[in-house]
Amino acid sequence: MIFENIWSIISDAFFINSFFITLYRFFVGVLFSILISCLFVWVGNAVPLFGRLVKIIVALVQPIPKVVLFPVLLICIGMNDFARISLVVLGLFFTNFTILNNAVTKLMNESGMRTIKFYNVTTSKVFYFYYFKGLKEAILSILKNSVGYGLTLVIISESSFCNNGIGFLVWTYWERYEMLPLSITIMATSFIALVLNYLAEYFLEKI
Amino acid sequence: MAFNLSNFTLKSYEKILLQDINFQFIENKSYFLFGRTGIGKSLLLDSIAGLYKNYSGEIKSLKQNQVQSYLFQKNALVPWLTVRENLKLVCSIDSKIFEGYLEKFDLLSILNKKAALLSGGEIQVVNLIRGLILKPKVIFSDEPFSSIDHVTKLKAYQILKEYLAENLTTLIAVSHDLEEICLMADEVLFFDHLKKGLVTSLPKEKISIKNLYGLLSGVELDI
Repeated sequence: MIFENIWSIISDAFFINSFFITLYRFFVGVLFSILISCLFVWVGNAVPLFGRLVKIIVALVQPIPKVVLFPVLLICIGMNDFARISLVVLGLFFTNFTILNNAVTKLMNESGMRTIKFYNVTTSKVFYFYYFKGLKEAILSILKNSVGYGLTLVIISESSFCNNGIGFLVWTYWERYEMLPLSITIMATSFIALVLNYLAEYFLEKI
Repeated sequence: MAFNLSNFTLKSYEKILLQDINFQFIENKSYFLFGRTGIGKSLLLDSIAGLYKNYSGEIKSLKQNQVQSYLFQKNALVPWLTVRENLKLVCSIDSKIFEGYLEKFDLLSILNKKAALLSGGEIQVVNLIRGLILKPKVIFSDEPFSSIDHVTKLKAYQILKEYLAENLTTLIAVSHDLEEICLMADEVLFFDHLKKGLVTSLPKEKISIKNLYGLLSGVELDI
């Protein structure tokens, strides 16, 4: 009886769809947070004054719980996916910026830079072979670190003004005191986080 | 003439290492910078190669846009790239020439290996080959064979020597290996840490292990 119930919950199209929507928001948010962090690190290294300013702002804003900014985002951006993804971007940006900035600083002080300087390596080759390939490990670490906090932020953002996603399911089941579907949703979320974590670890070991 | 140093004074963290050096490096000759550790030989080499700027005086390169290569002492390769990618990073030469050289050292199997997984000796061999396939007219070399076993080292000397002779190339090297200096050098420049400068220049016919050892231990030589 209980297994039949479980099966009917997890095979429900809306349930599956909600997971995909949450994962979509998560990955888009992580991707943009990495891209924006890269941009800030790059500009910060090219324009030292900007770099110093960003570091100060990051240090000031980092301790603020980003979740409290969600209502502000909803008001400023609107009650849509963009606001939800922005919360993930904002939440992850500060840690990602710090990790990437440290990785880039390390790369710039690597002795490989001597080779690049001496042989006048072209900018495109420096970016592809040196920075992109050199930062792969840092980017996978970011992905691994983002799984917990990033998914939490997506789920929180789906709790209000949203009619799909894992967050929506969790809060709906909670309001109705439907403990079985609530437990299954939470366990399925944990399982997805575990798989993402293992995938990131697998690729980290491979590089 | 390949390079001309005039009134060259080298500093490291405001400390003067070498002072008032005047010397002309002539083309197609092999020069070895020799002296005790910490005297500034590697920084002098970096200065001539354009990698170090904290000096006063003048370094004149008389032939501009000459192809140059540098055989680095350590960390010559980017660790997260394969050997092939490390080659692609600095040049776009047909990798068959590179593979040919690797075959001479029985190291063809490392072509697609990450540099981080290579031994110190393998990295130095790749470093040498990369330096040669660029067809340089000037080679800077900073103890590039320190991690290579004796047999491979002899092979490396032979290949480098053949290249220098065939391509009329200037070599400016730093080494503590007396055997290497005796085999490769046309002229040895000895730097003394107390006098902070170039003390003597040893011509080819005077280069011997005994004389080099004598220079290091401060024995007066009959030269």
